[in-house]
Amino acid sequence: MSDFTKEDLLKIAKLSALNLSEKEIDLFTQQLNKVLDFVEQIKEVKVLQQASAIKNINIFRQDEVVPTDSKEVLNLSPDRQESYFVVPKILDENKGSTC
Amino acid sequence: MLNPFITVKELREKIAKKEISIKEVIGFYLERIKKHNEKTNSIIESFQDVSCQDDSNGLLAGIPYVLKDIICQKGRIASAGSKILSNYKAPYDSTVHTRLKKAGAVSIGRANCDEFAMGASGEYSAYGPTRNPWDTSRVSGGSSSGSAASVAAGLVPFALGTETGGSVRNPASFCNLVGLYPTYGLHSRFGVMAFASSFDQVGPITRTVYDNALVATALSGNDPKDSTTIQMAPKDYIKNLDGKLPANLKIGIIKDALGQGVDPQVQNAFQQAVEQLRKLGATVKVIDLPYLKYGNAVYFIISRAEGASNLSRFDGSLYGLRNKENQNLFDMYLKTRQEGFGQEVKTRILTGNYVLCAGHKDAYYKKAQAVREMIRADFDSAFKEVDVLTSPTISMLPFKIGELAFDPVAMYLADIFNVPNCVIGTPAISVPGGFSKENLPIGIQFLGPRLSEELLYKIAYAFEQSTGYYLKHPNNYE
Repeated sequence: MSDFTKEDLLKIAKLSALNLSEKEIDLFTQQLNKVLDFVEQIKEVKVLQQASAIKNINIFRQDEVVPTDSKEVLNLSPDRQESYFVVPKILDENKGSTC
Repeated sequence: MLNPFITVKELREKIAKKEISIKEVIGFYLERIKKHNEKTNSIIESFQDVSCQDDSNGLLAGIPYVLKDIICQKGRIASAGSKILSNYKAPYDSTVHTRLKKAGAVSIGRANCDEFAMGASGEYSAYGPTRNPWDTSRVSGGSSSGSAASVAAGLVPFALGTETGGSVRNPASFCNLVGLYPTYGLHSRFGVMAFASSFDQVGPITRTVYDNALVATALSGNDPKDSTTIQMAPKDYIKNLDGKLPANLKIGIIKDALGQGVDPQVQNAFQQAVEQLRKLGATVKVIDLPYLKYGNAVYFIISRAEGASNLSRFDGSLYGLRNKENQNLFDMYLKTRQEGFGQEVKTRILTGNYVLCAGHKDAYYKKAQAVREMIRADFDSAFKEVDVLTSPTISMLPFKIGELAFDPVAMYLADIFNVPNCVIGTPAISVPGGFSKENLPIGIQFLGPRLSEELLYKIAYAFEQSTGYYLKHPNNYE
């Protein structure tokens, strides 16, 4: 049985930028325990080789500017001023970064 | 006027002979969506304002289609089945959409899907569950749920889905259709929203193998806008479809398909399919893939890790939903994501970030990547003995809506046969393989080595033409 606790979940939720409800905290703790129990089985596999059959190669293209309509992209933003995205305050005068 | 279950091939011929105009075809299907969509909830939006030219002579001239709502169509909403993108209008076309348009096909809507393609049943969409046209109390399969259910109900002749671990073949199988997971890198993903980037592929969902090959032909060829596409010229997948199996074909039955854990009716249909392949001249032997059983665990770990990373971009700053009741930037992230994501997506993000955390990364993520290579070696050695492998597409029949909800493990166990090849990026095709006594579709699949699509289509076509299961359609959609 996996020993994933509510405290583990809260830590991960913060890292995931998810503000969970009480109900979700209980549900997800239970679900993650199930999932972790299930994936535990890979620990029994003895890995014999690591060589990949697929050789990845770099794909290059010409570094040429192509026209893009930035207005259309900017129009998708929830809040903007001219060509800037507007977001809530990032720095707090007293505490530094809010993140 | 038209048989709504007409194949793309037949519809092309009618249009070419001018028996029907393209405008009439489009109007006919838009009318069908209006009339029948309520039963399955397979289409999120149909484009009643669509414009089309009557003079196209491309490979798919005048053929309507819908795209899974995770594939961008310029100027249209692309919601990914999520609330967080409910107001997001795609600023550009995906390459697959561009290629279909270039072939003369006409998009008439956006197909429902599990949120961000995360689901195996079609139940996890912010726009409501998709229902199976064969029995609307049951799931259509997912995550390309609406793509399959709309084709099965005769609302559109073909659709595109995406697959990360079964998401094209699973709904194709549950809806008596043909679905392809192509070799990783065969189809462009430019303009397709990412779930797990080392698995995701676009695949056609059609009534017949011929139609599927036709659509794959239109999609084929390297895309300079997606550097993960394979460097190769466009291909013609239809030319070798002659209804015969290749001479001396060796087919391997995946041993687990004969064991416990497979629904007896599915197993029975599968055994009849194997008998049919023998009759068609194939040599059949049982193949043991000892690492197959780890496919799901590997998929769970890596896909969730990649999914958590890919979905970190949705935070309310640049596009999509933004919660305005926030104190500061981080608070905006928290509240936007809390409000915008559904439960299945949240649980996958949490799992993904957990397996990537310091202290767990070696035990989960790195180990899973190593086991992934063991699975690859397993399949490599199988393909030295046989040309292709076969198994049921899914180990169970379409289940009732809500039956497996919130049991994150049970539903995925149904995918034991269609996840492992996605883990290693090799192709597979699901074709109709019979029916249960309740008249529910059962799919069988063929799995081949890298870039064996031509062979897979040839085998699937011979099987399909000799069995004719594709000729049966759900009731109540005339």
